[in-house]
Amino acid sequence: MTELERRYRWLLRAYPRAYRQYRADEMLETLLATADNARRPSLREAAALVVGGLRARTGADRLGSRSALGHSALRLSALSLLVYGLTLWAGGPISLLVTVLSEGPYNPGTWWFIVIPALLTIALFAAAWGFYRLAIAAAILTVAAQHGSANGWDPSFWFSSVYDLQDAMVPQFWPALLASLALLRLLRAPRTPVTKPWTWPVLGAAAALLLAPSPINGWSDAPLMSLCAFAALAVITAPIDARMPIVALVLLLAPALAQATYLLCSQQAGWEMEVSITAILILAAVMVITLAASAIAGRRQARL
Amino acid sequence: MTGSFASMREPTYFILAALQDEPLHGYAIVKRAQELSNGRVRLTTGTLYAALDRLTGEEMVRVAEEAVVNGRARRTYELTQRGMSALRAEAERMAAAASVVRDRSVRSTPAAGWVVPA
Repeated sequence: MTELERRYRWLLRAYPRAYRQYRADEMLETLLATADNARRPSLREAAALVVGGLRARTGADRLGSRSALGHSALRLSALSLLVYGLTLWAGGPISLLVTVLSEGPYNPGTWWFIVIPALLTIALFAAAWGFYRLAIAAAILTVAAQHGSANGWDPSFWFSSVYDLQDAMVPQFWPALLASLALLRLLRAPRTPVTKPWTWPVLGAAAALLLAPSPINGWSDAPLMSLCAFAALAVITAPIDARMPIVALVLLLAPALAQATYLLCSQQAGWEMEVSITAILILAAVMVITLAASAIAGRRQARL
Repeated sequence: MTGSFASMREPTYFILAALQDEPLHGYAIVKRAQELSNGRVRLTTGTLYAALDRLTGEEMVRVAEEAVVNGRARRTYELTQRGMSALRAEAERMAAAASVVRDRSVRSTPAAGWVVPA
């Protein structure tokens, strides 16, 4: 085996194993034939192999039509919203666990902060395995539990004034609501086989442990900071997978809608507004960039 | 027929064009596409096989023959009827687009006796 062949074989490892078993020999022959006695792969060829391999690994290469891309992006958005929601709400149970472990049994008085992440977890598992009806029910119950935890259970007080919308002024409120809307749309789409459902609960657990503001990391801005980092990554990786900026845009709707609700309620109630224009402009700019990236990448991916 | 296929990217067009005369294997497609495009389309192997996967999925290209050469699998690809239709539709679309400019330049040729300033 020559040095060039060894390098190409190494680059071909970017592709999934099943794809390599089918294609690697054939690709290697073409790579060696087009190499023109070069001693190492050209940068252009190497980049194309890495991008092709990543697209095959993410499944983006199989999303040819607009409808397939849209359906997959919608499912990814719903699941990502549930993971994001879980990250925002997981701080409560983690803090309780830390308190119980360090100080012994403890009665917090209210259990909303356990009920809401539990419902989100059910919604996440159900959506990952393709049980969308159950996922919608759990997501809607999450929204109701969030509103109930902020306003109590008397329906007459739920929408009597802008003060009753205080739960919608924080980003925690929106992921479950947006996810239920996305899941509702998925329910009407043709059913497609679910692949690697375990990825999502594992991702949810990792995000909750690493990013949920809790005594473990002591970092209250982690979810928003990681969301902005994800949006930047999504724009960079848009040429590989057009679904990434779409998912980032949907996730960014949560803080944006929370901010919009806050501004609306502040104006209605005549509150003294404590608004950072810079933060709003940064959020708007990030959303515009992800929107542009998703439009360009989506159009490109759907083209033959 | 023209309206039934969305416009294609240039590499896809020249891959289909490379296969219109005879079935070819990967390296031959790269070379033929380069010749047909006067050297403009230089397909990388990653791009070629991604496009072949996509075109096979769209039933525009199919594997004509599988053989083992020098101990490695070699597949030869050929155009399907659907692929040929898509290629012709794209060629007609581009010809129609080109005619918009060509016809106009013929009409706007200066009439006899009309002097163009130097």
